[in-house]
Amino acid sequence: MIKKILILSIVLSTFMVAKTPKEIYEKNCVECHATLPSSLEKMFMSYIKTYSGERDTKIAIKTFLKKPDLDTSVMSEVFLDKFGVKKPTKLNDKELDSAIEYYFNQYKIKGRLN
Amino acid sequence: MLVSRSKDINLFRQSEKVSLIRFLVLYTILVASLLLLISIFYYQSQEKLMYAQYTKLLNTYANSQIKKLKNLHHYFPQQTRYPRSTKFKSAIYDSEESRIFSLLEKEPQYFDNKIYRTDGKIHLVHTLDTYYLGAKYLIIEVDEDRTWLENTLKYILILGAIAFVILSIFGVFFVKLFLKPMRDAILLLDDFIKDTTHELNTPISAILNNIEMIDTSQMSEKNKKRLTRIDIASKSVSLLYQDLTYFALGHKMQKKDEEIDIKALILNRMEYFFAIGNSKNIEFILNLEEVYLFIDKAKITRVIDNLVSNAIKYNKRNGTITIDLTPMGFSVKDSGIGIPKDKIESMFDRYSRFNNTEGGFGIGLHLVKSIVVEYGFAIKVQSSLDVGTQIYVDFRSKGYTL
Repeated sequence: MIKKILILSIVLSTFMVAKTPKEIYEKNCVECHATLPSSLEKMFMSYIKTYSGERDTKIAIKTFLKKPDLDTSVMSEVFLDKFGVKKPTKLNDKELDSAIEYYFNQYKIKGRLN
Repeated sequence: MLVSRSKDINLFRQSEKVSLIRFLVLYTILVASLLLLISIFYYQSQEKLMYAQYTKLLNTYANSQIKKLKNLHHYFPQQTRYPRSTKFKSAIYDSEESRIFSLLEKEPQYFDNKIYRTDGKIHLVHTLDTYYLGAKYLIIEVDEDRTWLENTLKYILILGAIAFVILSIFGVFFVKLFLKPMRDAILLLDDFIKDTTHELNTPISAILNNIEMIDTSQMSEKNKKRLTRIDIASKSVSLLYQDLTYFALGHKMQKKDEEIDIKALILNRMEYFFAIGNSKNIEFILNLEEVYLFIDKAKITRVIDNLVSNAIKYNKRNGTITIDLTPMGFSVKDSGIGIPKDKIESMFDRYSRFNNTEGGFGIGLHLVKSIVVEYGFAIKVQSSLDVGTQIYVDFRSKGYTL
């Protein structure tokens, strides 16, 4: 009985306590990408090489994550042939935005050149 | 009076001078505008040439920089040093025109302009096809070499000045060419007036002398009246002749100032005017004091003649004319039609005639004014419509009274 209550409380707390962008990003992005040969940073470089500005890049990432497609992917054909296209995200808009924001700030070029 | 037939007329009369100045001002403005326009075109073409040369050079720099950016993109973040060059400075901006990295001394002003000048620097904006490091715009900056500007301005100033001088010479030539017909017309008119004046002298003298010599004792009353009319008419023509002589040849006459008994002169002239006045049954009232002036006799005679003849001409039938002479001045007052107030100012202008019912050229009062001004006298006009006009010449202004 005690075990059941404990599990229930853990499950409930998972849903009820708001997660930080870092947590959402690490849980929903980093975990899966860790198994891929192309790092998240390389993918970021591919995104900015295609979309340049912050606003355009974020929109492109969000659009792709919600509805992944071969044609809108920034990855090479070799990569896509081998690993295919990911599944649509299950995150809601708010969570997705905060995760993308975190991701962008993590790897943006501005301030890193010297 | 002797009449000279020489043709050396002052070609630059007032009206001609005015047209000449107007034409030259207009011509200068046109020439200056044309030169300014040409200078602007020349400046723009030189600027374009300079930009073309810089574009070629800066594009080479841009291409080498793009290669380095591509390399940096590939090795980022292991390598983070932005590529530099001693020949130029550069910066990268993203598609939202937000700065990614910059070494520029001057902030970029435009992103849509391919090349432009800013504060002694030249900026080339190169749009990248592939956005390495997220950069859409690569801006290359070099110091502007200003020799082209100095050379261009020097050429504009030197060539502009030479062109202006040449065109000005043309301008003077054109003015002479265009004014020639006008000048010829003036010469013709002057010659005509001189010739006519010259030819009038003898017949008028002959008529006047012969009228005086006619024995009227044998004449019927009717013929006497006719003779008087002929006499008056001839005297009117004689007055007009004298004005014309003065008008056409006044500038050739030598001024001969002497002491003149003005009272005697007026009385002398009045003999002449009584006859004309009688035809209108005009009563003359003379209040003359002894006055001597140091003046040219011909000129003061023109003043008296014109003022008195006008007083007769514009007087009513059975009217009066009062002539006053004091050491202060001389006045002629008539009981005529009067002059409207707005016409008084212009009545002394050449060819100005406020009333067309009487004949005349409108030169009489113009002569009066020019003579009065020459001797520094003042002239005053008082007039009431249908009451009369008084014209007063004040001798005191410059102390010509003796």
